Amino acid sequence: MATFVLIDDSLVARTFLRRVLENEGQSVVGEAENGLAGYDVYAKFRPDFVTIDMTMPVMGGLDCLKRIVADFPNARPIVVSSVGKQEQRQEALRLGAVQYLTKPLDVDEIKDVIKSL
Amino acid sequence: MFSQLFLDYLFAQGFLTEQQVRDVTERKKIVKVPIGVLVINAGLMTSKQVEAVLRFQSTHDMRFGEIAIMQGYISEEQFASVLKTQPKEHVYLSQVLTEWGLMDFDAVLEQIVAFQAAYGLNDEQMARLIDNDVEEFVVSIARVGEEYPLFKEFAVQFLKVVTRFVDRNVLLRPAYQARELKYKYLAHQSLAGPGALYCCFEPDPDGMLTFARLYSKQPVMDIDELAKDSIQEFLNCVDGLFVTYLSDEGIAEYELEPPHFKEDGAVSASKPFCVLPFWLPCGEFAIFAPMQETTSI
Repeated sequence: MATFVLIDDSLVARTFLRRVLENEGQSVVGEAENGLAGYDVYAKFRPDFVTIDMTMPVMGGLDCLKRIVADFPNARPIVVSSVGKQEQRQEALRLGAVQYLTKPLDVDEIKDVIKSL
Repeated sequence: MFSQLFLDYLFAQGFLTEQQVRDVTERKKIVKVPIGVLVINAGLMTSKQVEAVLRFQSTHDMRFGEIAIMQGYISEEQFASVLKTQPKEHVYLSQVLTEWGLMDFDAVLEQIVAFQAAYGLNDEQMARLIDNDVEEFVVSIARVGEEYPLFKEFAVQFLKVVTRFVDRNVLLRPAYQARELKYKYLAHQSLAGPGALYCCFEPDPDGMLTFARLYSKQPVMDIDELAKDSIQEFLNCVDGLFVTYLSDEGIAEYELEPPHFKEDGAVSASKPFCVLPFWLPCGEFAIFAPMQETTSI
């Protein structure tokens, strides 16, 4: 079982991810609805994985990803974004994301990612 | 989508009542289509030939295909190809209409031809509609004009997500131009880039909960944060696909800003924008995408 923190401004997206992860035997230890709060939740729980949405208020996903990776080099971030642009995908992976998923999320895709982690 | 449009056409022509349209819409989701209907819709046999086969079958212990081939109505290869092909959605509709005695096969086929003429569609356009090609609906049925190329692409992406995640029974209303639009509820999202846009989704006040439930797969019971978030997140997913499409096609580069949800307001623009209303079984909805520079929300 791995631990997860979910950072997404959408309650629906967080609830969906939590349900799929918990059904697969994973543990969601914290949630946040923007990048700034997400950084704090990550620092508090230091989970195995953190999912980060890209489009969020206060602090966007890319800045959040940069801060987490800079301060916690062992972090394993998974980007979850509605935008699938190649440029953004490559940028996130270059900055340290271990996976890049596009919304709307698909249950089977998340299951495959969990298995591959 | 085509089935719903054709049902609406049959209603407008006086073949069906509003209640019958609703009942047929529900029934066609579960109806099974007999092989006789499939061969008629494939244009391989006439309704008279099918009736003859069924009469013969009632007194002989033989399968439909065996009789049809024996009588020379259809070849073995043709029959095999019909069995292999997944029926188009409107075939289920034809089956319900005939099963309930509302219209016979020939009348349905006649009305499909009349529908094509009424909308001024050529055979290629008609084939795309029957295949539920969303872009064809946006252009030929809603008539979103070429003067709104970005909005047309937004509408196509939006409706694709609706049919995939919410409900396939979408009926597009004619698009129109507006400068002002009052709303009870509105989800909107800014697309920053050349000629920045507000992508807007106006849900039906009564149908919003059903829409939110269908999309989020969560027990949305009231117009609360979860309901509003479902609508916003739906728009966010559409806009993500939209900006990705624009980037991949080399059309333009846009960045998304977080979506918002507003109540009891008005959109006001100094330049007209295109509004595309559409019907779902849960209510009447609309989308539009005015330029930010000339619009207040």
